[in-house]
Amino acid sequence: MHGYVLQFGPVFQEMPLLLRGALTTLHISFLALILSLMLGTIGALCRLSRFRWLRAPAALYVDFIRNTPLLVQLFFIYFGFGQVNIQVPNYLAGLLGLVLNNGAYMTEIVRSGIQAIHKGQFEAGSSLGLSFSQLMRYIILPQAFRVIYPPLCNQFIGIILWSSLVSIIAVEDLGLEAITVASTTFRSFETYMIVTAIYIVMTLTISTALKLLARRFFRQTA
Amino acid sequence: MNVPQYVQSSLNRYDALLLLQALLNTVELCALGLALGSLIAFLVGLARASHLRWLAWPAGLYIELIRDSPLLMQLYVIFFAFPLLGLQVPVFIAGAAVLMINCSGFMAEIVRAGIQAVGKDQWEAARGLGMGYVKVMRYVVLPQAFRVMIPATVGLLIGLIKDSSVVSVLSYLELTRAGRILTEKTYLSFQVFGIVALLYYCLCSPLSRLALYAERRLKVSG
Repeated sequence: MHGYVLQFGPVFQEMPLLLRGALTTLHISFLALILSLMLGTIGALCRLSRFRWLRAPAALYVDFIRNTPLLVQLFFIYFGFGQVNIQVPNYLAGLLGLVLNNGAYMTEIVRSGIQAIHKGQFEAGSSLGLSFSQLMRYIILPQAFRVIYPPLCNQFIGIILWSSLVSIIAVEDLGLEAITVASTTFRSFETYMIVTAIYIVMTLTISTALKLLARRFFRQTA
Repeated sequence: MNVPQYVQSSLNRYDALLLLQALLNTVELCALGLALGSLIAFLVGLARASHLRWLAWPAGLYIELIRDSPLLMQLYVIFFAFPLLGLQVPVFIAGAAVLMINCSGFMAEIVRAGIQAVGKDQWEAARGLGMGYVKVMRYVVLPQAFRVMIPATVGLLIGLIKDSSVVSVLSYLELTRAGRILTEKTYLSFQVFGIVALLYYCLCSPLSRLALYAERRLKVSG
């Protein structure tokens, strides 16, 4: 070890900074979850549509996003805005990247949820004279939500973990505050150990809370 | 945007060569990460599926720690751990080590699932024939487990290729890093990251198709 002594003290002194970063991580992740779920619902409806001109672009979107790295998508958006001279705050660019990326995964999740609903439900709904949007709003999507709840929870945990990449395009989340603290305390290894621990605590707490919520509302185990 | 005079206005053949070299480096990085990662994963997965508590528990902890923390933080922790151990390693080795460890955590879970998917009666029958643990694994369980593991492993490889983009923060010349270099050189962000994304797509898309095909083909009947 070359006489190196681990010192966590200086890093703990910077805890307020790290916690502020963690808060940014949480709210960018939460916003990304909500917006990408909306995008994913639209995407899923397009993928399941009768019309080819809706199906094909949605399939292309999902295929392309899922086969390229999030970091490259973030760079494409972040530096791309710079190239066409549009000033966008880093936070928005990061959020846009996370939403576009997760929208593709959400499309597949929501699609599988809708497909899991029995055909009789669609038929019963339309025979009652419900329009397509009423059918979706009142009958199909509420049931689909129950089916997709567990994968949705996993996706949220994934968003929190992968949102750390927005630190590379200078969004002041936990990942970026970690770099700041590491470079001011000169305790890189210790800082990143603690920050990793913070991420683990966040994800474990949230996944446990989501499971309890599911037990409360759906009486099912997520 | 005000583009300075010295900025190159278009991509030339040297840039294409840089991208080609970066593509090869990405493949190399992923191949090494997967090869070493699956070795570790095999041992960890066996330990995780074991009935011996003192083996299964630490293996479970290892898997959870990797799956519940961001790759970027794992990268920093591992990168800064080398100097603490008194080691000076090239970024390629550091990057491959990160991918290896990350990949091993996810793959160990695939190995465990594969082993546990093999029915208990198979174990009992083989044990009843007087086979020891090693023989049961070698001749009965693993050949069947591999069937289950193949589609998931291809999926993991796609993830690994995308994850390797994160190694670009260590300034190792892989695809994403090459993209950064070329955008700084030409300011053509959309074009450059469009090409980089397309190259990743060319690596991942055939694998996605292979995973789908393998899933259908190797579906365990009954």
